[in-house]
Amino acid sequence: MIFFVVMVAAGFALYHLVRPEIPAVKAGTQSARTPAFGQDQGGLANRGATRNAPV
Amino acid sequence: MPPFEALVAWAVFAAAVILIIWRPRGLSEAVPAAAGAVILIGLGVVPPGDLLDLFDIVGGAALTILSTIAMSIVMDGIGVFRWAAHNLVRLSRGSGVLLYWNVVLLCFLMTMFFNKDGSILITTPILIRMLSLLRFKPRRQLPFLFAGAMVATASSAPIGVSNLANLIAMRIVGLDLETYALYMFVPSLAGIGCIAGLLFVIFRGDIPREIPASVHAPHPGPHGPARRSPEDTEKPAESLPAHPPGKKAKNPPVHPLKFGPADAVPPEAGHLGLIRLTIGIVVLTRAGFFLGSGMGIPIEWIGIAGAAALVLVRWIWLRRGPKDLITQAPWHIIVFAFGIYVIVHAFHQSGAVDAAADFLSRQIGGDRFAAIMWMGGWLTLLSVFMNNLPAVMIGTMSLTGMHLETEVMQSAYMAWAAISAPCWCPSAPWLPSCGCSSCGATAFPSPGAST
Repeated sequence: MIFFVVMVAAGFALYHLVRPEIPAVKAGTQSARTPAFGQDQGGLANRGATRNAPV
Repeated sequence: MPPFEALVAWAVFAAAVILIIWRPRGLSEAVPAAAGAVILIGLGVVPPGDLLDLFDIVGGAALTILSTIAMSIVMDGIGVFRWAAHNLVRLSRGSGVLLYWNVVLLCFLMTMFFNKDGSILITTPILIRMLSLLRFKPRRQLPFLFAGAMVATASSAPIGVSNLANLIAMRIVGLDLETYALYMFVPSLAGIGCIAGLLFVIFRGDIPREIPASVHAPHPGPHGPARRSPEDTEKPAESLPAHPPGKKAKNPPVHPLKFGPADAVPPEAGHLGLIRLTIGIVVLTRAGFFLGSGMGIPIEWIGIAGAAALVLVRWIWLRRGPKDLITQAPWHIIVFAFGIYVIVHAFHQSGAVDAAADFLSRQIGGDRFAAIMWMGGWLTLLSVFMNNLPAVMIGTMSLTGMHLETEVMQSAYMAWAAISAPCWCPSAPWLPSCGCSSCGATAFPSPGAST
């Protein structure tokens, strides 16, 4: 049970790191400080180069 | 085992390990593993009757890892990680040191909630993109990339479900998740802290004191930057076309959820809710491993249920089916894990592992401390010189062959589980690749390539 709680707490930390900027999302406005870290620039969308990655 | 069959088992084992480490022309390690298994089964070295037992041990672990990777593919397709790089910079408040520790935290958490390979494959491109936009020179990128890769790999030790080898070995020695985590969580955190701390000390001169508090990038255009050609991605981001040809670049930057890739989240309200829901499913699935295993529920069922829930949520929300899972999931993991286990099983049957087990058993003599030190050293050697999966399998078989008391055996297992987690890539820099993607051999472009 203790690790269930630990994992849930860690989940909040992960959410804190990956969550969108809430005011910008809710307002649907364009923020001058908004980044252009597109999904295409990271993550598994680039997995074509690594699909054969070893395990 | 008759001498000829033993010879075949040794030869197949040696050839498979060499090919797995060498990987000529990028050969998938599943190929030598599968070929070796077919040879051994075909020649009767491994009787067909053993196969069901072997699959029973390997199948659950492989399905657990596959379900985790499926979850990461779905999450990535939704665009959950799109804000991670921006948040890292924002939360660092202009401090390079804070950015370093935020990178460590992200990579740690990503491995906790996905597996270590998925964590590396997701976070490395994010880090490279972030460092590129921060205009760091290649030398200044290294601390962040090294720390990210090292911490992401080592972070599979604390809870044991982020690593295929750990899952298989836990099943063999009869250790449940809760007990494993109870023993391993705090020492592993200390180990991860040591790794991050040592890298910080080594690279402290290369970590900039100050960084921009935020990064700005050009407007990606209404169709988003997703369809860049490979040539474009080699260029610095700032030199990419900022707007569709023939139109003025008057618009300020937009948030990435508004103009994302065409196949990702469309710009509609409510995606924050989708992101929260998907993260919640992942967290509950991972946390549920501990509840479920305590109740005797196989963790692969929990993993598959979590992945299915994510796919269902995405379908309801975005009307996207599971096609990307079928095309992107690394199905070769099952083939690799099963094939290599057949090969190691034959190697074990040839008596090779028993000799090592006898030697170690005499040295350990039932003492828990000796068991930890000897098995730690033995697994260090095996992990340095071969892929960590066969190393862990051989180590587990030699451990179970010693006929130690259960507690001593499980202590020894956990000693080398901590060693096999980072699989010693950084400690074996003379090896081109240990065969594990954790070292980033394939996922890790040179820092210079991103600038």
